[in-house]
Amino acid sequence: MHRFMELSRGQFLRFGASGVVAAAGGALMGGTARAALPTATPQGDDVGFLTFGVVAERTALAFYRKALTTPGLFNAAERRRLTAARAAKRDHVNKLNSVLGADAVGASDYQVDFPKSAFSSRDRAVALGIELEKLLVGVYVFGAGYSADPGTRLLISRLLTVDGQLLGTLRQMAGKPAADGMPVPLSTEQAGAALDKLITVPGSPGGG
Amino acid sequence: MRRSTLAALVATAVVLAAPAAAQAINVYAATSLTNVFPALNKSPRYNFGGSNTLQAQIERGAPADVFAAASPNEAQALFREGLCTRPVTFAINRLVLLIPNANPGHISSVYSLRSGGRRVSIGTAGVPIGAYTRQLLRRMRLSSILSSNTVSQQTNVGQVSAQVATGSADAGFVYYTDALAVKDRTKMISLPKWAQPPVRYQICTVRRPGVDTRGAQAFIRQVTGNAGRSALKHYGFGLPPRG
Repeated sequence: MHRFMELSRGQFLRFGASGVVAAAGGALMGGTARAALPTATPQGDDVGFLTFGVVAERTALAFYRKALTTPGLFNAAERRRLTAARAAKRDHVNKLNSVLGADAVGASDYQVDFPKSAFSSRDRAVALGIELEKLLVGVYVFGAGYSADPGTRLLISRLLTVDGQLLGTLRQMAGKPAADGMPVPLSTEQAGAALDKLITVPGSPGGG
Repeated sequence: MRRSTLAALVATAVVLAAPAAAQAINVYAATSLTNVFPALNKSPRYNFGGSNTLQAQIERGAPADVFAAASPNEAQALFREGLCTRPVTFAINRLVLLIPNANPGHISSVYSLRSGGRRVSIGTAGVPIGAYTRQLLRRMRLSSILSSNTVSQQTNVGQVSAQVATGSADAGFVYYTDALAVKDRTKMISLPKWAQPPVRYQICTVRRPGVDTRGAQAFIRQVTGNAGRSALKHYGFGLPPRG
């Protein structure tokens, strides 16, 4: 039997949508923890969500690394959250690549190039982090709806839960509520155009 | 006495040198290397074609001395089979969408192909350009364009770029360097960086009875050395870090 939570809109906003998602997810999983979960075996173009996920998660990993190594931007409590976020990103990259198998994206396939001023202030760094997590959340929402394989949908939903929390954390660091409504689904076309501005392909000819 | 010794030495040198001068090495190379390799070195006998076709020829005992492929798969397969030395990466490329200058298909981005009804040229699944194209389309969630458009499949990238350049296709997926080679008749449209498969060229010395190992190694040294890197760069290829 599943337990459902009832919250007013105010409670929802205070608690943060990501927290609700996580709590609801936890409640649901509690009832089915012993049931076998479908393994992700992407079919056809499902790999698009996962490939975008690896590249964007790796870019976000570079963001958290840079945020943690740039002196003076964050206090001790925030650094603990960022450290946990960095570990989550690493875990996501590994999970996605293990599902992609032969199509896995190598660490040397892309290079992350953040704008020079991205870490010049705390506000700018947090804004960049929010932008990255929004891309991931948006594509994962889209992927949860449109992946053909149930196991892939489940994997994407689990990644979405964590990244929703990380987005909420960054929004709170920016002095905003953890959520500002339902996350907007993004196609890989929309999100990819934004991600492309932050990456380069080492050695690629013609500036590509 | 001295004269006769000198004459004998000269005769010996001529006899020894003659076969080396007469027997050029056989270089089996991917079609996309058609322009750069002869510009780098005119001496070898070149056999250009789809990397998978060349791999199959070498497996059947073709007299190749050097194999240069447009993806690691073919050279690595030969290495595993004991038919070539450990391959090394010597060049990098990327995929672009090629359209004729007149652009009869009214294509402004790869996403234009979603609406269907165009003539699209791609490589067959077995040839590197075809495998890379399918991988890129899966990553972009655009595999459906292969059924919504009239697709022509070619056995090497040169045929794809020729189809677009002559107007026989509204669009084709080719390497950046092949697009440069027909830039007077075509336009290239960039494809997203995040979805690009890593296009790595690999080269190795073929292992077979009678192979000219010394000649093959000299050619590979030339390709991976300063002269080779300059030539590759001149023809638009990207370069790996120096090994």
